[in-house]
This record gives sequence, structure tokens and C-alpha cells, in this order.
Amino acid sequence: MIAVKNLSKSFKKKAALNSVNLQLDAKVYGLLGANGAGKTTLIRCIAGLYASPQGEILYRNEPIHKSKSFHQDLGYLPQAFGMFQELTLYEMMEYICSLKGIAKRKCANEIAKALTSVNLEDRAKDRIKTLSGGMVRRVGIAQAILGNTKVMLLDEPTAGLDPSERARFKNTVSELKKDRLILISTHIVEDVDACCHSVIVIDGGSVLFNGSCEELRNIAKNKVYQINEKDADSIVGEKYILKVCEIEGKIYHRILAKENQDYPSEKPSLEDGYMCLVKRLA
Amino acid sequence: MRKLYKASLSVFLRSKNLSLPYLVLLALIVAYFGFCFNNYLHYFSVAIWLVRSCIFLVAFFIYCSYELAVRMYDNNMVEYLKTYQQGLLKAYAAIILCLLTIIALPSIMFFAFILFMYYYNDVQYLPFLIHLMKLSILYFGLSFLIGIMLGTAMAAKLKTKRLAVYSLTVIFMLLNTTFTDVLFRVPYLLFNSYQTERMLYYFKDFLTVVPYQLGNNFIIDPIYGFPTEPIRWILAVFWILFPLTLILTECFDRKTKKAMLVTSYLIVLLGVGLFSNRGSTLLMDMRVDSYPYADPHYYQDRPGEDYSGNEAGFMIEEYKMDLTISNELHAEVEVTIDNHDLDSYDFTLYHGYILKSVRTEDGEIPFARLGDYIRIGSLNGADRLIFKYYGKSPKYYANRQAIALPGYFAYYPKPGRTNIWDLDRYGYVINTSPNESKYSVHVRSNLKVFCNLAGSGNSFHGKSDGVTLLAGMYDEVAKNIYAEPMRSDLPKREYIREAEEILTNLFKRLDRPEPELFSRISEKKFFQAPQNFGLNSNTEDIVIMSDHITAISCNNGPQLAESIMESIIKPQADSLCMSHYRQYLKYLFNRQDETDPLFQNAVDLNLLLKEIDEMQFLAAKNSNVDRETYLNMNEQEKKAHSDDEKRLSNLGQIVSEKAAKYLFYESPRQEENLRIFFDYFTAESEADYLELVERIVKEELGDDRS
Repeated sequence: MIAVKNLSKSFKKKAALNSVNLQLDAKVYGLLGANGAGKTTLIRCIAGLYASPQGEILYRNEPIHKSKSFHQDLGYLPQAFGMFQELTLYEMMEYICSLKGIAKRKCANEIAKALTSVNLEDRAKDRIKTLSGGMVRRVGIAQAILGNTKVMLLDEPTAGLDPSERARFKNTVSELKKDRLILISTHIVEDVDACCHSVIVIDGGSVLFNGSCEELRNIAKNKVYQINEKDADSIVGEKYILKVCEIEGKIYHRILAKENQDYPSEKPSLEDGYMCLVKRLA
Repeated sequence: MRKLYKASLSVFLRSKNLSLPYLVLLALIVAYFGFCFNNYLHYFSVAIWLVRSCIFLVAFFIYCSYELAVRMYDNNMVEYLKTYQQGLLKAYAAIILCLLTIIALPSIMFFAFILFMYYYNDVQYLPFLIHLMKLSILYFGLSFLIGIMLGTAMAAKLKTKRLAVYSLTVIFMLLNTTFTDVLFRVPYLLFNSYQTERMLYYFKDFLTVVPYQLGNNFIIDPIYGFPTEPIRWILAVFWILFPLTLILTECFDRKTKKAMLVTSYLIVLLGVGLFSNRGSTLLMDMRVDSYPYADPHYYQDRPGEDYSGNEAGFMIEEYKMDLTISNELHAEVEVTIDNHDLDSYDFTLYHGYILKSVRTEDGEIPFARLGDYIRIGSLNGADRLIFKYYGKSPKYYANRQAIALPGYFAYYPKPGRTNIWDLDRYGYVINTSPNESKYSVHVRSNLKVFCNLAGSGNSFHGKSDGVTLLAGMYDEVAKNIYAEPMRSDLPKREYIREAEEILTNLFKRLDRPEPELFSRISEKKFFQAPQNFGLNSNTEDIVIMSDHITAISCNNGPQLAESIMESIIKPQADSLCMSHYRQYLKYLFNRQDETDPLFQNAVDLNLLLKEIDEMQFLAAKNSNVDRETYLNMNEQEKKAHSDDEKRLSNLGQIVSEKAAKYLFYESPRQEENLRIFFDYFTAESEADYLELVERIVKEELGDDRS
């Protein structure tokens, strides 16, 4: 659906993306990366917000800035999302329908569908300023899907949401993912694990990994160990302490080690695979 | 688009920081109309008061438009709007449409009120109505539109930097008032740098969207009206298009954005270019270049020379004038000279007109231009010269809005060297030809031009000693009487006849021949000159030429007669002499106020003589004190000098009043005195006025004693 070829983008002299190559199809992708890794730059480039990135971004084999359908098919939720506080949710949706060029007769239906899919149909008459932060993020998703968009780029959609809102978000994505390309940028690995088919790991502007969640987990296979604090020094080679936990009064370190150790390895999580990549322990 | 527009309007109306001030503004406008209606019923005064408020409204609309448009940035909407097909463009278009609705209401209110005042005042002069409509569109329509474009552009470019936006708004607002004039005048006032002042004002003028600025106290001339010259419209369009291109650069990407940037640069270049060639405009403020000050300032350092007796040596038999009045005067003037054997020919042409070429039938000939003067060498037998020039005068304007070119002003080459400005009398020299020349004048102008010569369709011909051209809100108000029809003090033929009768009787009374120019004045064409002509000149109240009269006002016969009489004083007379002359005229025209305390007792002639002596003594004493002497004085001496000057000034007034009262009212030789002093004032006498008074009083005292 979308092909990113040799995409590079710099801000002044600082490179934000280095020769990124991606092929994205109608699936849910999780774009993982630390803060400043280049997630937002990549998403903005794909959304066509930057005027002059190097390389190519093709939508259905056509450069996005030349594609007539790309903007119609695109739904974008930026990291910081807001709306006219003075309008009601329904008015705002109508406003967006007009901007997206959705035919007047289809508007009501589209709005109802979008609001239902984000569970906000009962707040349609409320002013935006009365909605909570989580609701506003959901409205953001609603505006992105208005017009039956085929491509959804969601930049940090769960940032700042409480656990129940995050769970609701995951459900929403699950409902929306049919026949859509959804690219979710996040630094929260659990969110990716919960609702993405594929993961793209980006660091320092370069793509480190592009594959399934399982493949990412497998990167850390035989590299994750949970050992007693006292034995921590016995680890051979490069290591990275993933977390420190207490079990039955004893302190354990969950460690990521580059070389095989004399301890039994743990089943890796998606986060282990991700850390393995970014800490260059693969 | 309707939905977008409706949503933008809802945002505006539901935002308390926008809708409440807007409602208050509407209420204030209504109250302001009431104030104007109650206090300034006169046609222009109302418009002046309305225009004065204009910059506040522009600033308010900058605020409204900025605060409405910046909501998209405050609410982080722009990023996702840009991903929609022309989403940001549509959003801006909706905001601008909404703002147009917002400004439409006050614009319509102003327009309706102006229209109401027009009909209420019963002016019934269509060009004035058209002018008011233009005024409404320019000042209460386009300037508001400029406000919303600037505010929206600032939101697009400066985003949420409110401090920068409001600082710029305040600066913009102040530049559209006269309150910042002092800053622009600093280079001239402190460093005498006229060029820097001119450059700074160029910048200020370019930012001026309300040309009749808040704080401006100059009166609006009815013939001209408010400044609505083409450059005003061009500037308004510039200040709408330039911000629009800035907004559009935000809405597009890539090539279109670059094209928009190039367009905005081109618009700036075009705007600056057109502004630089704005030609003749009416500048009425404190700058050196402005209407009232430009010429007095120019001639201050170039005192007039004594050209009397410096005859041209030739006369111009015929003028063929082809004038094009666009943004300024473009002229091709062919003159036929009666004497073609001179070695050189001098002409006077106001220095504001740039002479491009001088030709004879044989081609271009060299000329030397120095200030107001042109010198041409031998004509080699040719008798015709063709002058091609263009330019403007700060006072005698000629543009697409109005024309005021009086025949006594050298806007076309006049034979010989003559002064343009008289520093002593503080006024323009009445510069008419010594002979009547044949004129054939064709004026290309969008205006209907009125001329002292016969003709129609802006083509005139005839004989005269000067060609006066007037146009604008000007018309023939009665047969051969031309004036601004909406003025309340319109001249009437019976006033002129009455003045003529009064003057004829006066000259009979004075036993002096009536000057040729004064005879049959009621048969001459009468042109009411622009009111502002008197603003910087003491010599133009009334000017009588061979076939027409120009006068600033004509309210009644006696006043007109007195003005005419006043105009015949010889130009070399100084200001003190003018004051004595006015006293003289008061008695000559029997205008003395007999309830004045001065009339309670007869003038004590001995005391008067003593006062004259004292005056002469003090004048002689003070004349020895130059600047250096004054600086070397101690404090006591300075105080004494200052007291002497005050005393001299007081005595000047007392003696002038007493002498006039005695000589022209009490004296048994009153009639003879009137004659003596008429000769004194009208002849080129170098004698001292006080000595003459003293001599006559002494003679009369001697008569009494004998």
C-alpha cells in the first residue's frame, strides 16, 4: 500500500531519518522507538507534512504528493491533537467532514459511524471543552477514520491516557483494523503487543527492525535471564538490566545478555526483543 | 464551505473574548453616531469624526481575526488539517469569510450613517455622494478588510506569539496616528536632516491605511475631500493581497508555496514601485514636505531676489498647452515669443516640475535649470518653444482626485524671472503675465475641469493674463461663478456687484482712479479657491486677474470689497505695515467698533506724539542689539532689553490704533488723510509710517494751535 524508499530528513544539520525503507500493507503496524528516535518525523513524512524529504513515499505506486486518492484515504492523528473548544462534538465532526470533502448526504452517517466506533455517540452534543483528555484522543481517532480512510497514522495515540482509556483504545483499533493500514507510533511496547500485527523499530532515524511481534520476541531468545541479585556479577559479556524485581523477599534482576550464560533463559517478551535491538545486544 | 463558515462563525460568537467586545463595539459605534449627529452636523465634520475612529476599528479587527485564526494553533489543529485535501486552505477561507461577515455589519452601519447624514444635510450634489461612497468603501470597508487580513496573516506566520502580534498591532496603530510624528521629525528637528525625515515618512506613509489620521487637525478642503487618490486604493489592495499571500504560503506545500512566496515578493516590489510613483498627493501633517510647510521651508533658504525692473525682454503672445493630469501633471506647453532676437531667455517654472526638454521647430535646444528658473540661449530666429515637463507642487495639486492650479502660479512657463514666494508677506507672489496672451488649453483628465477661458470638454481657449484650472468636487454654482457646491458660504453675483459698487464709490471718495483690474469685476468669472490656500499664504485671499477672480471666501459684498482693497497693497510691505494697513481699511470701510473703550475719549495727540517718540527711541535702541551684543549682556541688561521689547510691542499696537483712530476718524482732515495713506500703502514708498503719522499729527496740532 505504502512504500517508503530511501527516506531521509534533516532539520538544519541534524539528521532525523536516514535512508528509511519500508513496505506497509493493510495491517496494523507498531512504530516503536525511544523519544527522539524519529517516529514522529517518519509519520509526518508519510502524512506528507514535510515539504522536501529526500527519497520517495509511494501510495499505491504513486508519489503521495501526486496521488489524488492519498489525502482522501489518509486519516492522521497527530501527537498533539485539539479542536475548537467552542463547538460541540457533532459540529466539529461536521467541520472535519467539510474539510475532508465528504458529501453532505453522507456526513450524518459517517459521523455516527465514527463516533460509535470510538464510543462517543452519546457525547455528540457536548462542547469539546467538556470532554476529557482521553475522549479528545478518541475524537482524534474518530476524525482520522471519517471518510472511511484506508490509511491511519496515529502518532502516540495513547500518550497521557489512563489504563482504562488505553484499553478502550486497543479495542477501538481492533475494531478498525479490517482492510486498513494502521501505523501506530508509540514508545509503549505493551500497546504494540496488544494490537499490532507487525512492529517497526526505529532508533537514531534508522529502521532497526521490521517484522512480526513474534520475530521481534525471537531476537531476544536465549538472551533473557532472571538471576539473583548476588549472581549478577557472574554474567559474562555485555549485559543490560531490564528490570529489578522482588520475589519472596529476594531481589532478582531481569537481564539481557549478549552471550549464552550458565543460567536457564527466560521466555522473551516483546519489550525484551525491542531492548535487545536498541541496546545492540542482538 | 457553508458548514465551515457556520462553524467558524459559531466559534467567533461563542468565544467570549471575541463576541463580547464585538457587541460592545457595535454599541459604541451607535453611540458614536449619536455623538456625531448631535455635535457635528456639518457635512465634512461628521465624516472627519467618523474617519478619526477608523484606526481603532482596524486594530480591533486585527485583534478579532488574530484571535479567531490563532485558535487553530492554540488547539493544535493545523497539523491534521494539513493532511486533508487543501484542509488548511479551506479552514482559512472559512475564517476569512466569517471575518468578512463580522466587518460587514459595522461597515454597513458606517455607510448607512454617512448616507443618512448626506440626505439629512440635503447637500444634493452627486459627486459628493460618490466621494462619500468611495470614502466608505476605502475607510470603512477596505481598511477593516486590511485589519482582518493582517490579523489572520499574523496568526499564520507568528502563530501563538501573542506578544509579537500585539506589539506589531500597537506599532501599526500608532503609525496610523499623528502621535508618532514627533519621532519621524527628530532627524530634521535635531539634525536638520531633511532627507532622513523624508525617508522615514516614506516608510510611515506606506504603512498608513487611514490617510486622514487620528490627531490630524487640518481641515478637509471641500474641493478635494478626503484622500482617495488611486495610490490609496493601490495601497489598500496591497495590504490585502500581501497578507493573503503570506496566509497562502502556510496553506500550500512545495511548488505552490514557493510560487506564493515569489508572488508575495512581487506584490511588495509592485506596491513599493507604485507607491514611489504616487505623484501629487495632499500631505497635511507636520513634515517639511507637507502642504503648509514645503514651500515656506524651501524658500526660507532661498530668499526672493529683487526682479523688479529685470524685465523679461519678451512677451509670450500665445500658449498652446497640452496637459495630462494623471497622478501628477504632465505638460507640453508651446509658447510663441514676440521677440526672437535676444541672446537669452529666462522663464519661471515652479521647481517641482521637472523639465524634460525644450524644443523649437528645429529640435531640442539646451537649457539651464536653477530652482524655479529656466534659461535658454539664443533661439536662432525661432519664435516658438515647446516645454515638456512633469511634476507636482505640494500645495497646488493636480491628480485624479482634484486639480487646483491658479493662474498666478507658475505651473506653466512664465516669461522672465519672478519670485514664487514672498518671505516678508509670507505668501505666494501673485504672478500674472504683464500682458494678455492667447491661450489654447487642452486638459486630459478623468475630471471635469473648470477654467477661466471659454470652452468645454476640457478644451479651452481665449485671452487672459493667467489660466486657472480647478476640478474635483467643484461646479458652476451660478452663471460664471464656480465653487464647491456643498459649501455653505457660496459666492453670489450680488455680492460681487455690491463689492464693485463699494469700490467704485471708495475710489471716488479717495479721488483716485480705480485700477483697471478692479473695473467691471462683476463681469469676471469668479472662482472660489480651496479653503486651504490661505493656510500657508497671506496673499491669496483674493486675486483679481484680467478675466477672472479667485477668492477663498465670498460671504458678502463689503467683506469682498475690503479683501480686494487689501490685495492691492504693494508686496514689499512688511508685516507691521500690513497691521497699519488693516487699521486703515477698518476706517476706510467704516467698520470701526464704536463701543470699544478707545472711542470713549478723543485721542490725546500730545501723548500720541510722546508715544511715537518713545517707540522710535526704543526701536533705535533695540536695533543696535544684535545676537552677539545680547549674549554679552549681563542678566540685568538682558531683563532691561526684554522689558524694552515688550514695551515696544505694546506701544506698536497702541500707537497703531490711536493713530488710525485720530487720522481716519477724528481728524478734521480725515478724508485727506485717507487719500495720503492710500497713496502711502499702494505706492512703493520707502518712508516710515510713524514719521508720516508724526508729521501729519504735528501739522494738525500746528493748525489747531494757529
